[in-house]
Amino acid sequence: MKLLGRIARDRVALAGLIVLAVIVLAAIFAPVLAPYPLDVNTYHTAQRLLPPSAAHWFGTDQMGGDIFSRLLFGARITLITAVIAVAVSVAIGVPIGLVGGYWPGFAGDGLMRVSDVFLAVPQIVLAMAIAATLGPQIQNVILALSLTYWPFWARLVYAETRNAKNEIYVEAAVALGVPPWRVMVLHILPAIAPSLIIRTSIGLGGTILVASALGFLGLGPPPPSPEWGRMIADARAFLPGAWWDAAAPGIAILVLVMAFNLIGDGLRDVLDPKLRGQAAAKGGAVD
Amino acid sequence: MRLLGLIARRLVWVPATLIGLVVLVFVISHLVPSDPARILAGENATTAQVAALRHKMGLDQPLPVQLLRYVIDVARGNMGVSLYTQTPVAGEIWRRLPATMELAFYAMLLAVLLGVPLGVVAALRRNSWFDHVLRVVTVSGLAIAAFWFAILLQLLFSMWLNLTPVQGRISDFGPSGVTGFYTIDAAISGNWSTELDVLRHLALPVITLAFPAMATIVRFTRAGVIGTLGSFFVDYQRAMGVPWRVTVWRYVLRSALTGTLTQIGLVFGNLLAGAVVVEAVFDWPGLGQFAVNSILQSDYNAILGFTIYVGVMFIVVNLLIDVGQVLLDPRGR
Amino acid sequence: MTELVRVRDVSVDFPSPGGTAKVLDRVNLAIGEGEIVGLVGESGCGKTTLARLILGVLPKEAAVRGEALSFAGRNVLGGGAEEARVRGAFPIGFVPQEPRAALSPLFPIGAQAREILRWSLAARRLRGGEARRRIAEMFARVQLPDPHAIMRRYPHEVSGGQLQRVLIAMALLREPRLVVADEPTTALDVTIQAQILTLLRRLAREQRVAVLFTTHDLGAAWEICDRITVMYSGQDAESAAVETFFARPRHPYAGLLLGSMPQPGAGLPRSIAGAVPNLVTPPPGCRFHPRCPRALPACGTQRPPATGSTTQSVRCHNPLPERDAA
Ligand SMILES: Nc1ncnc2c1ncn2[C@@H]1O[C@H](COP(=O)(O)OP(=O)(O)OP(=O)(O)O)[C@@H](O)[C@H]1O
Ligand code: SF4
Ligand SMILES: [Mg+2]
Repeated sequence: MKLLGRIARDRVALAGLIVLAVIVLAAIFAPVLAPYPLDVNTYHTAQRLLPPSAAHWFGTDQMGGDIFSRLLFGARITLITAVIAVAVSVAIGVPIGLVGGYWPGFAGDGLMRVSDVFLAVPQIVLAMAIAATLGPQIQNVILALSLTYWPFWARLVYAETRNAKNEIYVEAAVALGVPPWRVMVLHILPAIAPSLIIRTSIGLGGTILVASALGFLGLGPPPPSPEWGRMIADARAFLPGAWWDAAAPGIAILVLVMAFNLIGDGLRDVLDPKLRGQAAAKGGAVD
Repeated sequence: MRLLGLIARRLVWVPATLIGLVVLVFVISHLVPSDPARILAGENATTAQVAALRHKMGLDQPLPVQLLRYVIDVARGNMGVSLYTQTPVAGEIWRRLPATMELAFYAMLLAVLLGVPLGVVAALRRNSWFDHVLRVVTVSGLAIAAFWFAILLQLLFSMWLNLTPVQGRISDFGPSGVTGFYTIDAAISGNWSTELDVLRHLALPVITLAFPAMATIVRFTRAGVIGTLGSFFVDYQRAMGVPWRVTVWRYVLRSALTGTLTQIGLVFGNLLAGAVVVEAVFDWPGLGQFAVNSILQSDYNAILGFTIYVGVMFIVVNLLIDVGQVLLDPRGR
Repeated sequence: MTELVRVRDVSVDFPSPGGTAKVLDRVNLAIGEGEIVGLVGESGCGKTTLARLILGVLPKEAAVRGEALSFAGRNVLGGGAEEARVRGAFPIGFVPQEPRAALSPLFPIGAQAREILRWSLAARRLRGGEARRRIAEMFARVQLPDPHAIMRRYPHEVSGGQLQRVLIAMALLREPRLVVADEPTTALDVTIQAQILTLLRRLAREQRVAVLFTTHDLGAAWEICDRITVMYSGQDAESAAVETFFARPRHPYAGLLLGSMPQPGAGLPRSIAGAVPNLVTPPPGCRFHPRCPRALPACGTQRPPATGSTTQSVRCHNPLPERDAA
């Protein structure tokens, strides 16, 4: 809570936080808020591709569905996908990084070589391959993203753990005979938590971008799912006439990812004293 | 000599990483049992024909044997034959490489030429309106979905303003030439109408790819310059009569860029990832489009080949960056 | 002796977390043509701030006001753009405390020296070969072995003592009328300190360059200076010719400072009771009064005016007696 208060003082981060809160609430209450909640699955051929109006704020798509309503339901898919995928990646990657960084010898290096293999190609390529093999389902997208994202966390935690191991408080704990797992969980993990929190926020934004690209390429949940990437792909056939059909989901992605990034930036300013010091350095050095 | 040691230490791990990559992709593509022989033999093939083909392709062997044979083949430079086009994968990749490289090259060029000066100016005028506007732009660049930005550009410049073609790399046939970069081949042969056509095709995909890359470069350059401006040598040079612009653009920028350089690997990785999607949108006949097609068609050999190729490229780029880092900072030599 | 630099009642404030820090308070300082002036005081008394004021490189957030800051008789204070006018007055060389921090680690030493030369009035139009020769000559003058080899090296490849010689050479390359040397030897070990100081003095004499030499080491000031100005907590306390000063300081703080110098066979030096005041809410009047054994009631309210002669001027309501009175 104290953290939230401090973030809130950074105006940009606060804006991000508010936008995120609005989108999360909209996703939760989509069935109530959506003017046409049934438009996710039903067709109204008479109302195809209507431009934005009072009745349809963002217009309608090629099936006559209300784009605003579909966006609200699409937000659920996007948020759930990103949150689960990042949570699973963190749950796999952080322990591996901790163990690897704590025993950097043979075991640690081995683990890091494995993550190097994953990191040797862009995440989206591996995720595409997995999602394509398993078939276009939302669970498969989540699985594909998780399986390809954990090495990033392992690398990050590995590097930070190796640094933390040289800190006096960790050396002291080790010297006092505290068992390794307790050192890792009670001493190292809290020390690296700030950078993990920052990366989680930015990672959620990045994961949304990859997930929507998978959807755009037809590897996401199948139609008539209101997944944002797929909505954009479907809208392409009706350009330039029905530009609103392509515009709306893209703006939704932009706004949501931006919110996560701004929160991440705000967290960085609040949590990372090193970076704050750097910003204040100008003019401070007199001698 | 430190440099040679560094290169050697990195190269030692290259084969292991690549073999790991092959195993990984092999495992991924066999997560679900499927039968490429059946697909290849066609609808009307008899069971016996399919079995014969399976035997010929080695698909009746146990998976570990298939994997081993594949690794050995790749080590000999043979990536197998695409299941769909029936052409050798290595040749296909080689043919498509220049298209992607040309795209990536100009995107990187644009991102650096714009990103570095903008980052410096933002750092010099911290918290001015310029800095704030640029911050909005860079934050958007990192939050925008590349495929959507591409479509937006098509809508605006191709469909509404009619300035650029919607898709493709060139209107007619590519200019003949050795480099495979159409911009260079056309210039060499002095074919200026082709050159113009090539540039018009390049414009939108290059902008799409360059935007997020530029955003990253702006952010790191700005942070680097702000950090270096606090260094004592800046005040020293000012006191000793060196003009401010010389201190900033020669000395401060050089320090800041050694930091930015470490991020070029990241930028390049994002550029390649972006190319996969952007080539699909612009129907750009490069490696990204090849990857998307082969993944959508479960074309194993093509997927494996592409992945290995990108892996090699990544490793080389990161090695070059480490070398550049050492060369730029004399303390490391 | 004509006057080169005159600082008259100049104050400098810095914003700080606890409020405005009054780092310099109506400070006075004079430097004559070719004169070597020692600026002596404890750590934090404002020596670097005063040096930077004269160099024109105070941090942006510094607020400067006062009577006069004159270079060769021209006052640059007031009317804005002071910094530019300070640096436009005449070339000043700078020899900082930490030589390694003054150079960029990414460029060879010769290139950085060339940069100074390129923008100095004295040598703007020199060609490449000519400039290199000039730099090598100057490096040889500061007794650097193999000047050409050093020009090719990077700062991290050269020892601290040699680097300080490089910076002295770079300062002289500008053909300055004044060199500001801000604790130029504090970062070096003792044997090298002495060499650098003698070198600085010899070159200043040869080239008829004035030097402002800041230090907290009275011994070093005694070695090379013509005149000394003692500062305490952002105020000037006493200014006198070296011999006069060391024979008989008149400001109580200067007296205690001299008494606290370590002397052979005299046991441990006495330290001055009390602590340096904080700069956000400094004591009014004479800032030394809370610690001063000779304080009078007036000391807590009025800044003492300068009294005495040009050879020994002191700001004190109750100074120690003069030499002949003793
Ligand atoms: N940019 C600044 N902002 C706030 N306070 C400052 C700034 N620069 C200097 N000060 C304060 O001004 C006072 C004088 O500093 P200065 O560096 O001039 O002292 P000094 O006599 O050179 O000390 P030293 O012997 O340690 O070098 C110090 O208390 C310092 O904390
Ligand atoms: S003015 Fe007063 S307090 Fe200050 S030094 Fe002189 S006697 Fe001491
Ligand atoms: Mg100082």
